[in-house]
Amino acid sequence: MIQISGLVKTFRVHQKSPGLGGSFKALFRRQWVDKHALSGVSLAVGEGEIVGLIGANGAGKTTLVKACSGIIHPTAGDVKVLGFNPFERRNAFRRQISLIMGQKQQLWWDLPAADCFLLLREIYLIPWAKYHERLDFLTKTLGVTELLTTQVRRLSLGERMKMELIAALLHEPRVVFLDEPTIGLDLTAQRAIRQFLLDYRGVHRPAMLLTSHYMEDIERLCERIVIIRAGQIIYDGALREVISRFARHKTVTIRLSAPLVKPARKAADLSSLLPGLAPGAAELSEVGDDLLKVRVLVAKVTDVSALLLKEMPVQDLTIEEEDIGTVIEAIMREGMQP
Amino acid sequence: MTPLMEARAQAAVLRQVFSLELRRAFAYRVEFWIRFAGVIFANVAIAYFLWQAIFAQTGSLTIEGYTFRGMILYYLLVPLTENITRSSTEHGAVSAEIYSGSLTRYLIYPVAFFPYRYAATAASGAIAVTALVIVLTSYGFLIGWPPEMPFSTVAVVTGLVAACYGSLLNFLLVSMVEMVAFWADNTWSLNVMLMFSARLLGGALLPLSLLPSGLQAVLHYTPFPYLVSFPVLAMLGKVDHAAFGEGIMIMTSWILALGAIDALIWRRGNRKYTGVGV
Repeated sequence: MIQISGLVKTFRVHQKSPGLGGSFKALFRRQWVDKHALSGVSLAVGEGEIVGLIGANGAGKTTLVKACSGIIHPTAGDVKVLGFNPFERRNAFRRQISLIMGQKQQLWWDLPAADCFLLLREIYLIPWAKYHERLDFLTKTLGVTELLTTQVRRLSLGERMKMELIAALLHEPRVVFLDEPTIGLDLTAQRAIRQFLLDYRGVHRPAMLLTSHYMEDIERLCERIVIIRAGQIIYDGALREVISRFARHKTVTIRLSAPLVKPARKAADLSSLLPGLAPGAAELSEVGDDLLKVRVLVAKVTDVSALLLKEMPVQDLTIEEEDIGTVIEAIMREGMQP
Repeated sequence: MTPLMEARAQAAVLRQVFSLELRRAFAYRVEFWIRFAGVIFANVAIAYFLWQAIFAQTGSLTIEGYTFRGMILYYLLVPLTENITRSSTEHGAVSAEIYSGSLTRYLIYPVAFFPYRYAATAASGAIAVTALVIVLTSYGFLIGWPPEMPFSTVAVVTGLVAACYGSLLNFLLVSMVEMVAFWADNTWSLNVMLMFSARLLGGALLPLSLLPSGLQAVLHYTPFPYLVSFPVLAMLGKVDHAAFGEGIMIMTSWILALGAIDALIWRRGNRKYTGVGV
């Protein structure tokens, strides 16, 4: 449903030196630099798929969403959504897509949501019977039926976001772009919206492209993620594979049957506690009276576990995968390769 | 979907936008009435004291065909007409949408931007037409029209037609300047220049017949007089059929030219749009 090939987007940005002198100079001569927001991105998203776009601020996630929804014109490359070139903005295309922006409201601030939905009914040519049926379903599911006649500006952030979701899904789009849909919401509202999106996907099977800085959004909603760094895709695959392909460490936790005489508080102490430990294979991450947490290179987990069992009075030993958020953060920061 | 069905669908959207904007205007009733009454009162009060002094100074009973009462009626009609032609939602609205990224809404929804914006503007215009009719009727009953410019229903209706047509002309003119926001960081000064030029050269500050005849002849072919002076004079019965027909022709030419220019700027500007803040 979404086909992107070799997408490039370059923005020309005006640069100004700081201070009054810089401002004065800019009056006569402006300096421009090219900022490459996307550098040859290729991606395909199919029906019923929710793909999570992950990247640091400025990595190019939102630019990609904008290019796919037809807001911005690509510098080069090819984008096809439902067989349309988004930038041509054909009405037949726009009637089948939706864009939900957590940081930018689309509803009319001064009007009750019910009035905004009436306009959207006309815009998307929704027959009355279907309109009532869908509105009824969406408002009940999100628990906002009582708020339909309240002015949008008088709603709380969470209530407003739910109204934005209804506005975006009233016409049952086949492709949905979600840009930070849960930003700023409390945990209850976040959970409600995630569940709602999953239910919606189950029933309507749209292709969804989601950007979020909340790892829980990604973990709960996406089976597939795309990691973008400096305008390039550095990972496109299953979320669960991120750990197996990228995680460099595991955490080995041991509970001791007797407290350590001399608590090992530094990596150097760990090597003195475990003679034969290969340099750099493990480091202590937490030390308690009867507990040690050791961060171990994935390749050395068996060796280090064996050493721990041999050298320490171990009562219990557990091995944990690295937190997925930490792994993704490292990938984004260091551009790690699998 | 056939082109006819598409046109019908778009017309239905515009009707809804019109209605939505009316509801939005009424949502701020106090602000709406204060602005309405305030602008008219300020305009008429300034004109009253200024022209009272001028008439007293010159000692004449008429200036360029206006008696004092006629002059005050002119200044009463100016803000009422400007409310129609220069609707409140226009100045700065399009550029603000470009700067804030709110324009994105119109790019995502299957609607045409200019008709959508104009339908919203026209809603304010419709309120202004109603206000004009109410004020003129009250004026006729309470004060009475000046003898040199007797009330004529045909003249008022003709003037209203010109004012409504003028709102389209003004919309295209303002949109052209506002779309510079696709390239420039700020269009405030351009907006102010346009607004000031339109008011001065359109006859809002003083009747154009008081300007030198050479300048009047040049202005005749610019869009400015058709935003204020032309509809006001038509309402006062000072525009005959031939002059009205010529005025409408000139307005049509400008509307076509500006429509083409706006469409071109829109196409080019869209390529520059970054949807900032989105």
